[in-house]
Amino acid sequence: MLKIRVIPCLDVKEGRVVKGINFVDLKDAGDPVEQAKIYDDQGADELCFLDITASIEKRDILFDIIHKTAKKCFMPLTVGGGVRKVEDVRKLLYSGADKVSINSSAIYEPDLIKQSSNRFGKQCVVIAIDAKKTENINCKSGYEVFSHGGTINTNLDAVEWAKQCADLGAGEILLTSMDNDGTKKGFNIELINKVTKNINIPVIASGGVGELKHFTEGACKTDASGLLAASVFHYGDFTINEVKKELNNNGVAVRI
Amino acid sequence: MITVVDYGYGNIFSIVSAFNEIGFKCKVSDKENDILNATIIVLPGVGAFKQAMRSLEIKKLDKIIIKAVANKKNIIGICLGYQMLFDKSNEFGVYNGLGLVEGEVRSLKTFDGRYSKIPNVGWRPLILNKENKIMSDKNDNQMFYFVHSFVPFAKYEKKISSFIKFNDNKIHASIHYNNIVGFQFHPEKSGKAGLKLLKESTEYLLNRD
Repeated sequence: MLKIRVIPCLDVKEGRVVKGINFVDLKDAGDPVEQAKIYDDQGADELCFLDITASIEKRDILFDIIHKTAKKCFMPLTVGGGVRKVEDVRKLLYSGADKVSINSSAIYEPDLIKQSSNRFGKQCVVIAIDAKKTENINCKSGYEVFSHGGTINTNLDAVEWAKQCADLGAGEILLTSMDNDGTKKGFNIELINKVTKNINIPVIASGGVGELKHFTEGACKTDASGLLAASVFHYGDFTINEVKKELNNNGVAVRI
Repeated sequence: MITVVDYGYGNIFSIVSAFNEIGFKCKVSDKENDILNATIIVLPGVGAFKQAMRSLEIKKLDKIIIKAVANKKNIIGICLGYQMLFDKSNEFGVYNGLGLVEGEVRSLKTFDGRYSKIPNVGWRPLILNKENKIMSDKNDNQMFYFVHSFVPFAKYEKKISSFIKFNDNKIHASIHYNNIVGFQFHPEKSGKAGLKLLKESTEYLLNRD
């Protein structure tokens, strides 16, 4: 059967990891390639790079990093952050990324999903959705989509938007709960279930992991295909191996 | 010389990196001579069947590959490159493939897609085909990385080297037969197990008489 994926995420700014593994004995904690290798050795099922570089001029550094990582890491690489055009997608894939995650641009130009999917295949188009609970009675699912790193409320219904993304040709949804992100209280089970029940493409759950048992909850209480986390791995709370062991001990099928 | 066919589709960089890691140099090329004189032709591919085949046809690479394989040249197809080895595909219409392996490419939806998400993305364990003894036993139950919405269905089961279970069906994950090897999954993205299988398959082809 299909194994649930454990996906560490590295935040990269101007070519340096700003949120990665905080190992004391690491030669260069800011080197994305070295960090990627550690996650690879720990048994990560996929690696996610999130580029948080603010200036467009400095974005090209990212291509070099992906290139170097893909040369040494033989696992799937998803890269996101600042993808605006089909050309951006092409350049990332050409550098060695396997999937490209698109967030804000997909919201303001949904045709970008269709174009990317038609040209490169839906398997490499991941749509990142940042969702937040709302009191807005017009929002049926109770979760609204935010763009630009969670700063702008688009008033889109998260479930409706996920459905639209799937229809336009997205291959996966990377779903982040803004309410749970950073709280360490666990995944937002309600949000994940609302989305997975309404679409038939894989959903990667993100936001809120603080303890090992949260991974088990995410795997057992939802239909998520992947579980993504950054901080818990970054601060060395636990390793990917430990997460896999925890999942396996609780009867969840994982790749060990 | 291993020639990776460059026709504008596929994760060529990752495939070349994987071959380099297991000790083989590759040439990335769309030149007739490089394909006809290769020890192994590698056909990568990520994306849609129709466009990828068309791209091969525009560069006249389809005929060159068919000619090379007819002359007993070795070929490895990966993912969409694997699918293109077959007679035809039913992806968004019916389109001819290279016709090097008898069979057709079908949507995963035809394998009762109600239960599993499509695309099939992630790691699955291989079930070896006991009738095909080319792939070594150590690959049995090893996990490999899949990402696809369509899959080839080979006419002759003896050509199939491994299956995966998808819903209640066994689908054809790879073929090893004479001078032809194909993987629906990505050995170049499947960690150590993937590199080992790629090495084993490359050596099988190179040592074949």
